[in-house]
Amino acid sequence: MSFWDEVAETAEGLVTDPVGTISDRVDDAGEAVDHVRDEFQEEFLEPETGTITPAPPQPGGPYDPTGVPTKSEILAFVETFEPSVRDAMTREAAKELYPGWETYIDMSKDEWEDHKSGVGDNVTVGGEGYGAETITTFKWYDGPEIVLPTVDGMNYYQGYAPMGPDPDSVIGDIELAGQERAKMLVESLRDACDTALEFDDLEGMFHTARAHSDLYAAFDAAQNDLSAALAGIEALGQNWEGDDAEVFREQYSEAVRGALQRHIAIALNLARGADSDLGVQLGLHFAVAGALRNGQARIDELSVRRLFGDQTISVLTTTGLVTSTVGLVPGLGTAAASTIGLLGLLSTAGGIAGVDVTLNPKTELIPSAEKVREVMTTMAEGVVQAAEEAAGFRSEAASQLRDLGGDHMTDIGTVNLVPGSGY
Amino acid sequence: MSDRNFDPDSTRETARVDVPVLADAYERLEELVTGAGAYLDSSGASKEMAEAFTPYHLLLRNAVVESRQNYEGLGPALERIAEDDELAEAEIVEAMNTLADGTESTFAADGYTPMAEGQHGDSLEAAPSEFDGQLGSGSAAREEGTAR
Repeated sequence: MSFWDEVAETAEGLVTDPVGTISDRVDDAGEAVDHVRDEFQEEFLEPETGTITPAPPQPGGPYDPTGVPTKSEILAFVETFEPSVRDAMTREAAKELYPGWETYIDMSKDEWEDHKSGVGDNVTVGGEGYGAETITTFKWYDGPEIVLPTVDGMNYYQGYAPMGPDPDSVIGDIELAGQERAKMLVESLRDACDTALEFDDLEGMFHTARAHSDLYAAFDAAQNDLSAALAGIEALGQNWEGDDAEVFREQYSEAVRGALQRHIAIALNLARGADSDLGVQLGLHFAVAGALRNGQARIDELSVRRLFGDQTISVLTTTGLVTSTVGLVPGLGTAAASTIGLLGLLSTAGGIAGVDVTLNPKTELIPSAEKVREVMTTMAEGVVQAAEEAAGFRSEAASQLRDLGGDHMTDIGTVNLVPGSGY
Repeated sequence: MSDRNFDPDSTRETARVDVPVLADAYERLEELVTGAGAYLDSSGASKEMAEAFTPYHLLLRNAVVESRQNYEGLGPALERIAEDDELAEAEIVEAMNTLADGTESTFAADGYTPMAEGQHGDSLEAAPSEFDGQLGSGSAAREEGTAR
C-alpha cells in the first residue's frame, strides 16, 4: 500500500466512524496529520541522490479524487449548521429579555405541543395537562419558532418571574438577534474552513502528483529500455586515445548512465514530494470534514430525546409488540401519541386497535446556546489547528525536498545532469 | 592522423542506432515532464511545497530538454567524425566543444543557477523549449572548423 493510500484510508476512517465527541474528532484530525508526517518521514527521509532502491509510488489507481470532500462541499456543509444554531441563538436572545421564563423559552415545537397536551416529560395516558391555562399564558411564534410568555401570563405569574416587554412588540427583534448571532458563528466556522482549505478544488494537486508519479514510472522504465543504447555509447571511444577521446569519454561515455540515474532520482523525489503534498492536503480535507460531521452528530444528539434505547427496541421487536397497534388518544401530538402508544403496548401486551406505532419515538429538542456555541467554537478552533499543523508538515516536506534538490542543483552545468554540457 | 585506434564503423553504428534511441526517449520524457508541471503556476502544489518543488521540477525539465537537445546533436556529430577518421585531434575537440556550447549558452540565458534557500525559481515559461537554431549553428561551426 502506498503512502497516499494509507493517508486516504486513515482519513476516510475519520469520516466513516461517527463515534466520539468533537474534542475526540479534533484529536483524531491531529492523529491523521501525525500519520501523514510519520509516513512522510519514513519514506522521505532517505534522500534519493543517486540510485533508486525503495518501492516508488505507483501511477494510476491511487490518484482518484472521488470521495474526497472538496472545499466547496465542506463550505456548503458548514451552512447546514445555520438552522440549529439560529434556534439556539434565538432562545438565547429571548431569555435575555425574559429572565425567569427559561423553561418555556427553551421548548421546541415538540415539547410545546406535548406540554399543551399535558404529557410533557412525565408521560402518562390521560395525564394532568395544562391545556387552556397554557394557551393563554404562553404563545408559540411560528417565525422564530419559539415560545414566549404572554402579557397575561406574565401578569398571572407575577412574583415568580419579572415582567418583560410585550412579546408581540419585540418578537421581530428577537428573531433578528437570533439570525445575526447564528450568522456570526457560522461565518466564523466558514472562515476557518475557507482559510484552512487553500484551493477551490484539488484538481491541480491531483494532476501534479499523478503526473509526476507517471513521470517517475516512465524514467524507471527507460532505465531498462535504454540499457542497450547506454551500453553502446559507453563502449564507444574506450579505445580512442588523445585529447579528443578524453573529451568524448568525459562528456558522453562516462556521463550518460549517471545523468539518467540522477534524472530518475529527481523524478522520484518530485513524485514523493507531490505525493506528500497531496497526502497532507487530503488528510486536512478529511480531518476538516470529519470534524464538521462530528459537530453535526453532537448537535443532533443534543437535539433529540429518545424514549427508548436500542436495547428496549430490540426487546419490543423480539416480543412482537411493536407490530401491534394501540388506540390514539385524541388531541395529542405525534410524538406524544407515539409515546403513549408504546407505553400502552408495554402495559397491555397487545394494545388496542388503532394507529401504527412509531419505532423509537423521539422528541425534537433545541440545544442550549451554550452547548451550540461550544460545538461551533470547538470545530472552528480544531479546523484552524489542523490547518496550522498541515502547513507545518508541508513546510517540513518542502524543506526536505529542497535539501534533496540542493544536491542536484550543484550539478547544474555539469555532465552529471546533461551529458555534453560539462564545460 | 593520430593513433586513436579509431573505428569508423562502430562510431557510425552508435550514431545511427544508440544515440537516436536516447534522443527519442528523452523527447517522450520531455513531453511528460512538461505536462506534469501544467498546474505548478496555480493549484498544483501547496504554497509551502511550491517554493521547493517548482525550481526542482524546472531543474529536471531543463535537464531533460537539454539532454534531448545534446543527444539529437550527438548523432550527426559522431557521423561526421566517422565520415572523416583522419580529422585532426584538435579539430575533433573543437567539434565537441562547439556541440556543447549550445547547451551552455542556454544555461546562461535562462539564469540557470543553483537555488539558494528561499529563492524562487524562474517561471515555467523560462524553461527551454527550442534549441534547433542553436544546434544548427553548432553544426555549421563544426563543418567550418573541420573543413580541409
